[in-house]
Amino acid sequence: MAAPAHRMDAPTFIKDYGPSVAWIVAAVGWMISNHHANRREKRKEFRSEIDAIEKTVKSVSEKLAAYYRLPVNDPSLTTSELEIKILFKEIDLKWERLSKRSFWWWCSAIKSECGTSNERFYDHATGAYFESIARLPAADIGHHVHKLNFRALRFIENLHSLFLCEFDGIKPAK
Amino acid sequence: MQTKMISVVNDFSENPAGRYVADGPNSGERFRNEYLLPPLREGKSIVVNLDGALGFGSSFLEEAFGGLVRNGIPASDLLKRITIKSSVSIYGARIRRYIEEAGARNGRTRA
Repeated sequence: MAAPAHRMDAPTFIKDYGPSVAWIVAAVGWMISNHHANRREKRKEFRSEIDAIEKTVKSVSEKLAAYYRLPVNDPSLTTSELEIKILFKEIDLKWERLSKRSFWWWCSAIKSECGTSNERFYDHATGAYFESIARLPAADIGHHVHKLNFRALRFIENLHSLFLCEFDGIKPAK
Repeated sequence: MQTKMISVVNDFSENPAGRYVADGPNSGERFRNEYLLPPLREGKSIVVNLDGALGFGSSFLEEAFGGLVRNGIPASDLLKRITIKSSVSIYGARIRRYIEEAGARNGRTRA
């Protein structure tokens, strides 16, 4: 008569595999906890970088508004132009650093929109009448500055949308 | 093809500024006419190093590089023969955009 086949019951399973399962559970738990910690850190860094860009954008917008109101031969024109260019270089460096981070694939459209709005802001701010012998006509200054502020705001809002997309899964409306 | 290396800060100015010659001594127009056009017309490629400059306005960059298209060099040709060297990689993409936009406006995107 053949011997009965060995059947694994619960106590036997726990005795044989319990230690391994415990290690696996601990390892998986650590991995999940580590992932959440890294995500929290990434979120904080991202937020900090957006805040830094926003601060520089506001600073350059204020300088631009003052710059366009300076008269033709004002001695501070050159210094003002230099300060503005340096601030834009700072924005470019900060945006470039942020854009090199990895993002979820569904955030690529809003990331591209951030780059586009940064370019539009830069072009408008340092294009016509910037570093030019011709000054912006007084009647047009208000409109020009409003458009500048609109483009600056658009860039900042796109950065915030990118943050929401990456960390809260909120995709911007099409 | 021979390559000409140009450093904006060492060869031209630490503070490139303005679009036209009338706007100042370090304009995009002067940089284009004196530094970019001659080697390009000789059939050379150019590598333009932007590092060290204090900053660039769009008027300077657009006139210097977009203006090459308006001076008769097709955009597609420029995109092959000009290399931008910069620690700020956005500058390279920006200059490519100005060249492409100038080409689209002129309708000279192909040789």
